[in-house]
Amino acid sequence: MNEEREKEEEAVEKRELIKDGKRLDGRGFEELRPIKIEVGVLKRADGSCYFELGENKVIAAVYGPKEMHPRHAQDAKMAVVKFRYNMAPFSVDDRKRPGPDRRSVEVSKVSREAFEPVIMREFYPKAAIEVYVEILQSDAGTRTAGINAASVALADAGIPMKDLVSSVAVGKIDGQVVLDLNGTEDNHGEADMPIAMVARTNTITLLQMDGHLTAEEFGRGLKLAMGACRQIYELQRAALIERFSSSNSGSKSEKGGNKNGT
Amino acid sequence: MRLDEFSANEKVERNYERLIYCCAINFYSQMYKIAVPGDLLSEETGRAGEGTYVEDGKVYASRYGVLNEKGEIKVMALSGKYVPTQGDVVIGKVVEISFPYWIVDIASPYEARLHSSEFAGAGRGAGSNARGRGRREGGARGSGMRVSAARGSGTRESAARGSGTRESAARGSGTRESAARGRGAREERIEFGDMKKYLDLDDLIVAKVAKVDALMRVDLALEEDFKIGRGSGGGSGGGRLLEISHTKVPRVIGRSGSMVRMLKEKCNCSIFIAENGRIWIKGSEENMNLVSEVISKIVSEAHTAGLTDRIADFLEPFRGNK
Repeated sequence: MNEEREKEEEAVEKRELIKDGKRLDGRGFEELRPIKIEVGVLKRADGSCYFELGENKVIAAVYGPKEMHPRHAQDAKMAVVKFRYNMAPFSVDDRKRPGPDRRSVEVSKVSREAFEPVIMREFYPKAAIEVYVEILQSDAGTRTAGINAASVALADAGIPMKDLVSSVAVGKIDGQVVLDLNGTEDNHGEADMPIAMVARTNTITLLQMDGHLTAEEFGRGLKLAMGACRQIYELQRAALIERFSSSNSGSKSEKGGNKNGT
Repeated sequence: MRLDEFSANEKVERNYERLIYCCAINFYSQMYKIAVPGDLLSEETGRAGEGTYVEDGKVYASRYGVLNEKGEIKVMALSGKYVPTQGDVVIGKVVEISFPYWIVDIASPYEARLHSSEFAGAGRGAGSNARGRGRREGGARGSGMRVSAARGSGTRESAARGSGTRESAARGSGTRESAARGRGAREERIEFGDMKKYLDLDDLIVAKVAKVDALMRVDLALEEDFKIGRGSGGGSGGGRLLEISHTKVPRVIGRSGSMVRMLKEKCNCSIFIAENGRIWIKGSEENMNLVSEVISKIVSEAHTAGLTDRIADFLEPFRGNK
């Protein structure tokens, strides 16, 4: 690991994020990092999901629909979605000061809005749906990983939705448009553009950009992201179906049963 | 609906029909087909049912659950919160007394309220409710109204019997009596401080959802034999409260009540299943433990077919448990 890191740093100093048509971690330009999805990992939450995207480790928990507090924030026509994105202090190299900051407030807001078109909020007037995304380990692209995890957790909680939301980032390193930047690429690249969408309809629900892309590069990046979101969608769907396949039937024991736990 | 003679509720049965995804193959661990939000289910919009939505002339899944394509296309969610609809029978827990309502938790995002007039019997809520209440409350606690009502009818009878010479007097007293009854009815109104004499915090009740409005205000009406216990235990009466996801209630009941019937026989317990996923069981400690175990087994295998047969096998050694 340390050796790898040294090599990486050396490459960065030489301003070489791409070598022989490959990226530092050996990926091609249009290749995602390995993904792992587990559904229903938390017993106490109504729905949950553990999501790994390369070195990113993210856990999402959904509660509700439940009573909305404070009451003045209730919506008489539909449920209110609360979304909290939070990075653990140990999720980065130098300890992150715990608690919400400017960045995580922003990520929470845009992530919440990424789900607005799919959650059928009118089923639960006056209620609240709470989504908690905890970043356990980060390596660029945590908001996309968080959205992917939250999407699966929402489905697991039995929340009615029009579709799953899938998310991925594209960016530019060494003048090349590439898919799914990792930490080093993000820090030393020229652009990073996280995108969330409904993969089936290509409806974009989140699009941010840091850095510069030409219109042509933007178009190519968007196309890349669409293909990748489709892949991620298939993995999300497979994970949800796997949950109820014979090999792990009843892996998540029902909450409650006896409320006192006696 | 009486507590000890549970008859599979019509609505719950209908729910079960929705859940059945018929594939008559070997039943052990046979999986139902699972749908995920956004799955394209059909192009026949006329068949779109629960757990689906229609967009651009196609039917898509809106929930994560078991797909049923027999007749209407439906997706039966395997998780999710209970949302009350009119006519549901639920088990609620009193969480607050706020005159003139009891605020009742019904295992839902929405709290329900029970009006104090549900106890006064006069006017609405009479009929079967009053009978149940009479039987239960007539003795120690049902003061005021219950007793006076009994007196009232007694007098009416005697007035009817009273004939001949004393007719006028009888009629007179009858009128006086009915006037008194009228006044009595007004006095019967439960006063602010008296509400907890009828139902206190943590009391468990069986109630029917009488009304749900657009703002999800839920009104309850008491069912017969409404009071079943306190807290999660039965208080002095014994019994135990189990909580499962309401989405799995149809499976615990089984097709036309087959599962719950078997459970009752083999475990020698009375079992009452409410639509909000709360289950009240009563029997010996040992038998109640067995029922809890079996129910959690049913819940964790709710998505598999042939469940009733597997539970039957599981319960085989316990035949005739007394």
